[in-house]
Amino acid sequence: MTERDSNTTQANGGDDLDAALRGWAGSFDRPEGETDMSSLVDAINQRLETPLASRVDVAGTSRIIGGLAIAASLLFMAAWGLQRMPRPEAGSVVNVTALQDEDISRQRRLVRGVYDLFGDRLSWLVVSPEGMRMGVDESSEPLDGDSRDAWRRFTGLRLVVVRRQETEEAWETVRELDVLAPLEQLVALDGVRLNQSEVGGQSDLRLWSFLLPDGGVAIDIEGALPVFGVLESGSHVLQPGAVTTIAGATADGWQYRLLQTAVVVDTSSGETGA
Amino acid sequence: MDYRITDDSELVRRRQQLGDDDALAELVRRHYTRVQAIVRPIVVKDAATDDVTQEVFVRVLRGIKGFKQSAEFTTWLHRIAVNACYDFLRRESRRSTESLDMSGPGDIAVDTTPSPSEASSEQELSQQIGHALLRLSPKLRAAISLVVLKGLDAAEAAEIEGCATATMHWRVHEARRKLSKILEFPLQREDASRASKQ
Repeated sequence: MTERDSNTTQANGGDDLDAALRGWAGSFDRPEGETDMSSLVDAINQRLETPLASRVDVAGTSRIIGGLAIAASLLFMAAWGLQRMPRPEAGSVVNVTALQDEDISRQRRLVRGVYDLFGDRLSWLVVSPEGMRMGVDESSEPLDGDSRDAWRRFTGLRLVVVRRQETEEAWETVRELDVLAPLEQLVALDGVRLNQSEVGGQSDLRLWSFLLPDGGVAIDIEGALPVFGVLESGSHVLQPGAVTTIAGATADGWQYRLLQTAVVVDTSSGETGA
Repeated sequence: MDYRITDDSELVRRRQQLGDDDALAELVRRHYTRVQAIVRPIVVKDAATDDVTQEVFVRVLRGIKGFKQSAEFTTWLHRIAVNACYDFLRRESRRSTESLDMSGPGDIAVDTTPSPSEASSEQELSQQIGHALLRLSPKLRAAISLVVLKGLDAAEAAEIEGCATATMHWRVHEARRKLSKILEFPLQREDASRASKQ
C-alpha cells in the first residue's frame, strides 16, 4: 500500500505572526546608553580568567556528589526498605528493548530495497505488523535537497504501545510501529492504527527528527492518538539505547504507555549512530 | 587608536594578545545586542540569555584562531552564538529529562495558557509568545531567530547552521506553522493544498 507524503502544506505568509514575534523581540531592546558596557566587559573578563577545566570541574563534581548521594540512598532503600515498600507501582520499568542490531540491519536493507524502486521520491517508510506504508513525494523537487544524501543517514524510530491491567504488574506490548525517515523529514501519518481493537480508533501523527550537536537525536512528535489523546510536545531527546515513555493514559481498567526509541542508521557505512 | 574603524578580528586579536580591554569593550559595544537578539528567541529564558551571550564572547575570544580571515566575522559569530545556545539547551534538556523521568509519563505538555483572544495586554501576548517558542524544537527556534527576527535570508541562516538552504526554508515554514497554531494566529497566505492523491 502506498500513500502520498502529505507534508506539502505551504504557509508562506505569517505577516501578523512575524510582526508579533518582532514585537516580542523588540520589547527587550534597550537604548545603547542604558547598557552598562563596563560591567559586561568585567563579566566577560572574569569568565575568561576562569580556566575551562575548573568550570567543568565544578559541574562535574556536583554531579558526582549528586550521583553518590543517589546511589547511597538506593543502597539504603535496598537494604532496609525494600520489603516495606508498596508493590512496584512503577511497573515503571517497562521491559521494552531498544532497537537491536538485527532490527537495524533489517531497516537498512528495507530502505535500500525501496529506494531502488522509488529513488528520490521516497520520503518515509512505516513498518507495522499489517505491512508497510510509504510516503512518496511526487513534487518535482525533494524537500530537503538531494534525497540520496538525505537517506544516507536516516532515523529509525520505534513507537511501542504497552498496557497492563491496573491490578497487574506486567506490561504487554500491544503495538509496535517502526518509522524510517531521513533526518528533518516530516512524517505525516493519518489513519495508522496503534491497536486493532482495545485502543481503537485511528491516529493522526506528525513526526520530525533531527540531530543535536552532541550526536543525540531529538524527535518532535505531535498529533492525536486514541486513548492517549492529543500529543503536543516539545523535543524528546533520545540517546542510543534509551527507551522513553512519552505518554500515559488509563482507559477501561487498563493502563497504557506510549514508548519510543530511536537510532540513526548510516546506510553507507553499515554503522549506526545517535 | 581609533577602535571605531578597527575591524572585528583585529579587536579580538588585540584583546587576546595585548589584553586590551578597550578593544573588548568596542567588540561588546558592536555585537552584544545583536548576539543577545539571536540568543534570546532560542533560549527564551531571560536570565539565561545574558549568561549565554557572555559565553559567546568568551568563546569568540578563546577561539579566534579557528576564525578564517576569508570568512565573514559576523557569520562566524552567529554560528558560535547558535552553538552556545544548543549547548546550553542540551544541558537544560538533560536536567529536565531527569526530572521528567522522576515524575512519570503523565507530563505531556498541555497548553493551559489562555488563547490570544483572551489576552488583553501586550505583556500577556509577550508571555504567550515566550511559551509558544519554548514548545518548538531548538532548531526551529533558531530558524525563527535567524530568518524571521534577524532578517537573514535562508541561505545565510543555512550557512550558520551548516544545513541545506532548503532545510532552512523548511524549518522556518514548520516553525511558523506551529507558532500560528499555538498562538492562534492565522497565516496570511496559506496554501493548504495537499498534493494530489494517488
